[in-house]
Amino acid sequence: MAARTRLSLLFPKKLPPLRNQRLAHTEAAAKKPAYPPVVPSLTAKSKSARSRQVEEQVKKICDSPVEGKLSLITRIHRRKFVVYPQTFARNADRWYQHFTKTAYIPGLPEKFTPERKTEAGESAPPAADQTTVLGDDRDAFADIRSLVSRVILQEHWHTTKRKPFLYREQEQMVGPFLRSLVTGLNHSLAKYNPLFRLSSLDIAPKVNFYWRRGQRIIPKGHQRGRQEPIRFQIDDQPQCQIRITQQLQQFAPLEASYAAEVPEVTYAPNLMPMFRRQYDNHIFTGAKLPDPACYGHTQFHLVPDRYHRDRMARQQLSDQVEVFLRANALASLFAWTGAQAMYQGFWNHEDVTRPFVSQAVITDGHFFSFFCYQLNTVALSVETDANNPRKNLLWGTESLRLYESVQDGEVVGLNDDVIKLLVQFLMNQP
Amino acid sequence: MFPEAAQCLKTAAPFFPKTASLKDLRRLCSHGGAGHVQASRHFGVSRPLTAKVLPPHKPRERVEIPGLEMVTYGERMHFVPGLSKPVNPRWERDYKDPRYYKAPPAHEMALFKEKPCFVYNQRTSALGGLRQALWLTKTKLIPGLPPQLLSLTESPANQIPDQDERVQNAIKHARFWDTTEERPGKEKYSNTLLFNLLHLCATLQSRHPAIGRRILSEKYSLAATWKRGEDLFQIRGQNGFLHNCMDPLPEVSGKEEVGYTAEHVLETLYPVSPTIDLQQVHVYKEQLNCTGFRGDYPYPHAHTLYFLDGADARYKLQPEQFRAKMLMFAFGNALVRAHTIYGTQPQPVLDRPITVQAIGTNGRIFQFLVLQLNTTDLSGDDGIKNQVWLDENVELYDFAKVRPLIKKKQVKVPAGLTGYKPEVFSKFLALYLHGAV
Repeated sequence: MAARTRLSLLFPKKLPPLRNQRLAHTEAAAKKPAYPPVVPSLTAKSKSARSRQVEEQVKKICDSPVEGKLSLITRIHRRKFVVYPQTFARNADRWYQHFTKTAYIPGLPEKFTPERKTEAGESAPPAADQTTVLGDDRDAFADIRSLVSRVILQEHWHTTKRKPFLYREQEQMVGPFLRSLVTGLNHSLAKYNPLFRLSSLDIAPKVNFYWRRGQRIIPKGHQRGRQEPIRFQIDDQPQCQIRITQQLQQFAPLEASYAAEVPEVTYAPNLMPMFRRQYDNHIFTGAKLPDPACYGHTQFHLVPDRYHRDRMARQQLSDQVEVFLRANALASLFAWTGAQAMYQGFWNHEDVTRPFVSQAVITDGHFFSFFCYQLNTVALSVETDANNPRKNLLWGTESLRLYESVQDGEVVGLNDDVIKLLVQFLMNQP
Repeated sequence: MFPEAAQCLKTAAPFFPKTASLKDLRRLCSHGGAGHVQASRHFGVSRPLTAKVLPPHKPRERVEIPGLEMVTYGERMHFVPGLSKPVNPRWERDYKDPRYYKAPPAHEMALFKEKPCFVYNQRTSALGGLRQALWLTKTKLIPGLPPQLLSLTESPANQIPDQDERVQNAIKHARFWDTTEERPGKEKYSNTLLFNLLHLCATLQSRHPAIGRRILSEKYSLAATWKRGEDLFQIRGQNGFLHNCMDPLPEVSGKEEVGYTAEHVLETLYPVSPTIDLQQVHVYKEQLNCTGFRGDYPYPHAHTLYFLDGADARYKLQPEQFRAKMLMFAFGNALVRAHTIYGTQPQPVLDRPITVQAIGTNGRIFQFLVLQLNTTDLSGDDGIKNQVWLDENVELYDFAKVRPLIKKKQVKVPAGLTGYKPEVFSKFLALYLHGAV
């Protein structure tokens, strides 16, 4: 830089014609630099050297294949916050929204809203209502309804079971019900949703994700006063999940997320309460990289006895029931979609080019809540988040009751709308 | 707590003070299976940890001499040397507390019977293996699966598109891809493999809607009773997964073949008694028959049972005993349903024989079994027998290695899946589609 300015001072007027010649004729053949580029040192004890080391590492990760990327990103173990999707913390959904840069939109995206159904309505042919759901077969919905009631009756009425042990009721009564329901629906709807013929159904898979967001000043130690990124890890185990070979279509365009609001929490994460541990950093969708079914469709979660709404009511925490469900969906789906994006090679410094979309259903046996998640950005760390207008989006419903009770071998009060919504969820295809 | 630890606690209780007993005894009793006992903290140094455990102290026997009244210190309300200890009447709690319930001895129980009953449960490892099971169930063994079953998968309509590739993907998912670790454990992968294969087979539901008339049930408790000779036998327990169906399976062999089984002679286990290794109980309910489901169950017929070999690490069975278990529980399911349809009186010939299938696996090796129950008259050794077709020890693949096996710098077995055999999955699919095609 200094040499060039000196040159221009010495020869101010003779340069323009030479420059023009160069522009006109020899654009492609650049002047070969006589000396290598002057860059900061790599090994010096300076801030510029450190930033160059970071750049080299980023370049190395960008240039390696996906497996290499994952292993380089998760190589170094440091203390990180362990985020539990099912947590007892109050107002956990706001904290998790801040950690994952997610905006919550109550209700479901336009694809699933009932407005389309009420337009078809009762006056217009009701077959149109069914066609939005299941093709042309009215009987198909009746079959699905009877399948659901049979599954409920099998677990709660027909199978001879002993009285469940303390706090094992959900695991023993509702767990098998959910598994049978998902397998039954998956197999019946394979006729209408060709994705399911190539899909993979996992029972109790592990889903992990590791990311960095925010910074903190190290309070003590030899690095006191310096900035350190805050690391998070989610280790989730849904009850079952469906993985597919093609990606689902986005619910809303990327640009629509710019206007969404993400709540900001100014407190440190450990006040949530959340605790730090140091162990393997895992990024896992439910199956390793070579699996062809690398995209996610729907996850099903079970509300454990500890967070059941009856127990929460006894502890005067009834308002936290919905909060718990939202936090659970948020963390689980963020982890799943984030892992799917990492499997495709997108990471902190290479943001996603297309949104990753997944769905979740959380239930405690009687009440079902439906959630849709769209991952628009994986660039959540301090360096990449500064000018990132994109936000992730979570749509969700309140809990809807599927049935009232089981009496004398009959299901009382089976709600058709919930079944329709469940079928719509499973029928989602690109 | 572990039963051994409880025993040690009882024997050592008078010697070890309560504060140290619980944690240290876990260390002391070295337990074969559960080797992950944490190192417990030992702060106090004033008592030894490894003292000799003396046998339990029996209280001195109290001698009652009729006519002689014992002079006790009961009235004086304090111990007096020379006088005997007062005996107080036995105190019983007037309400029921499940924490302090002591079961009465067997002969005082309400259901006690003099005649013992031999119970086959899910942990039984029968010494005679399959021969003992064949004798107990009065069954004739036919090696190999019935040909009409194997021909089911020959037509392309009954095959999954890209079958080989998808089955290999399913095996690789179960063996390699299902975990963040290097490889999943045997229990996990055998379970995942079975569910993956079932999921693959169920994708044919769009072509054969009858597959939709089935449901899988996980923890069902079976109970069946029958008489063989002079002895009473029962099968009881939770044994695996059961595919229930709304429609019964068609019978595999016709009436002629069933008639020919009358000439077959069962192999005896002489000099070994056929009741060996069976649990002998004196407290039981007679005529205990329970399918595991009550009420008007919409799926009354048993289609296939699935057994996982490595499910319970504590009760691992040898292959022969595993096949015996498969046969016994398939028989139990068939018998219970025969009792519900035809009544509990023994029937020499059933009008419609009941067919039940069973598949057992350890993650690599499969055993296929088809049982046809022709008779419930099992007391004598003659007459019509039941039939079982058995295809044993078929390997789905040879090796599924994460790291290659190298001996003397030569690759003996490469990494990944090797030696995949497509015909084994065809048999699995044939058993799955039986009754739905």
